[in-house]
Amino acid sequence: MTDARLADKEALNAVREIVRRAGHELRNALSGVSVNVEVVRSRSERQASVNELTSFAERARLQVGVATMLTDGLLALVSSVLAAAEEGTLKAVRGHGAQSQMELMIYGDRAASLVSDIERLGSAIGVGVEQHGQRVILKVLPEGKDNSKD
Amino acid sequence: MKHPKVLIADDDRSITEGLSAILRDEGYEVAIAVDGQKALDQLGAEPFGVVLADLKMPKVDGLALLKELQQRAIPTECIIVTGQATVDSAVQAMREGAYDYVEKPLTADKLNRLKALIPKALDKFNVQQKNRELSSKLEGLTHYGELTGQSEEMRAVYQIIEAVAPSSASVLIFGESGTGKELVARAIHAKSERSKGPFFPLNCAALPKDILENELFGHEKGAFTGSVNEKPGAFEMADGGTIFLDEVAEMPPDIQVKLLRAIESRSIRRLGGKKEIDVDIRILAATNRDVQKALSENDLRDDLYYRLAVVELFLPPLRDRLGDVKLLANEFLARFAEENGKAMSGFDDPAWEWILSYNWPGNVRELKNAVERAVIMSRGDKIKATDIMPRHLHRTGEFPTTMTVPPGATLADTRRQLVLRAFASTNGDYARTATIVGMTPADVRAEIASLLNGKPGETAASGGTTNGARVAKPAELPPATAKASKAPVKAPPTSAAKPKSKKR
Repeated sequence: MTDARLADKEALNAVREIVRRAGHELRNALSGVSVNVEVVRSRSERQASVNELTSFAERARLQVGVATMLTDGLLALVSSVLAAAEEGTLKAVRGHGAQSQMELMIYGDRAASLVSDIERLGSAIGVGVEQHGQRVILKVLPEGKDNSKD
Repeated sequence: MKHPKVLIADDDRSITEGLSAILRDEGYEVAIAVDGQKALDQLGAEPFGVVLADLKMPKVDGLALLKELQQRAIPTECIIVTGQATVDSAVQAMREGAYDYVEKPLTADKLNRLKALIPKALDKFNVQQKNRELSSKLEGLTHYGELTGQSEEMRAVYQIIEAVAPSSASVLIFGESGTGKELVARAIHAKSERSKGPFFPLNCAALPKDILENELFGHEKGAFTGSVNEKPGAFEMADGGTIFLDEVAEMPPDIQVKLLRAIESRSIRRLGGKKEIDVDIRILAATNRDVQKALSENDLRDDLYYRLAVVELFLPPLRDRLGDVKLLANEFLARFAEENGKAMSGFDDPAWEWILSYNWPGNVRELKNAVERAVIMSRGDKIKATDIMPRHLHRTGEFPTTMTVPPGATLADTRRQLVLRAFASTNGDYARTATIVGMTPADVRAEIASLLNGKPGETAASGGTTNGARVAKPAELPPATAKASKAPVKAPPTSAAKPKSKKR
């Protein structure tokens, strides 16, 4: 395997790990939505008071927000990675304290928005995001119990 | 368990709050642990029938929690909730003892599945909890109904009886003659809801075919020559109670067919009768035969066997529960001493040695009879070995003065016979035997030891006597036994093989 192909593989491994972690968080958030909506639904059927339902509805709403944030971050990451791979700017880089690390270029009108979404995703799943101009470095940190749920 | 309790172990509050509300609405008492360690603490402090554990949690994750539960023997059923949608994680969870697993996200379908799983897991927990309570209740128990025994083997029997008695399931009891199969059947009946109804024992081997059929199903007036009155059979007389069919494998095949029909239709027709009579009976059956052999030899019909053996219960022979021999012997001694008005203080040491080394091929019945005979025959206040030993093993020094060596006998066989004969004639005196046969006492000991250890030629050497005693090391040979030349040899093979677990 050539160095270039090895680097591609390492970069893809980093992407795979980010997607796996994002998937976990998404499932958790969707579970939060689902169970709380179920409480609202079943208790509404038996004429529960508004007060009794409010906290569950609120939790479901918050979890929808979390799921939305994770989805936006994941979409931003995937579109940026695909664009970088197409342009040949996606590469694995060595770094300290990270499980794996990759670098990609993000530019264009939506660059700020994409990076912002990726940062929010990263903070939820244990991925550090460093921006140096158009160059963005993603560090997949060792899976901490605080930042990634199963 | 009156209030089924469920513990939710998850660090995600949005899930725990919603899930606990759903489960409370379902009628469960719910507690929440925000990490694996707190879950363990709570499980150690109070019983929970079911734990819903997230696979990934702070401090102690779901798999580590499962391992700890196993190691600490904390009784609960664990359902793992996993967002890791891989086969590996599920397999690993099940391998670590999880009851089941549910993948996130907990959609409506999966919530329904979870709701269906929890009562099943609770059922399993409750059954196991009942078994644990029963085990501790049976611990140290020496008597159960009319059965006596505190060995592990008998406690297992008591446990099966406790479990099966309240049901209406047929039970097939295996065990050698004299192990107490009928007592087991009586215990099952006594512990069942039918205990107020009759218990009707019938030995299928003891009666000729026609009489057995008549005993089982009864007859109408004029059914056969001499039947001047109608007579109800066992099925009618045991209505509302239990029939115990002992030695069921000896039942003639055509009666087996009728029995099967009666069990299946829950009705019988008397001999010579035209109307079906509904009966409400529970059937318990027993055999001392190797049931697989009886099936393969068509002595027992397959379909009847499956009907009778809904639950199989193996009653161990006395030689496999030596821990009970002393208990039984003392109990029989007290009983028969009282019955015979004799003041007995117990067994002397050689008697105990004999009792504990003998194989008791006739099982509890043989021990009981031996103790009864010993109590009657004993002249002192203690039972001696010669009082308790079976009569056919008694020797009084009357040995033939000649010895026949058949053609083809080997030198080793002949020597063994010679040594044994001399050993017997000296009442088990090694030194005198050695002098008579011209061997050293050590060689005599070795010869006797080889005999006891089942070397070839043992039967010929012992004059064809198989006394049913367990093989004992020379040092273990009871003095009284040795003196009386009752060299124990191997027991004959057991007639009732332990049944294999049935797969249906």
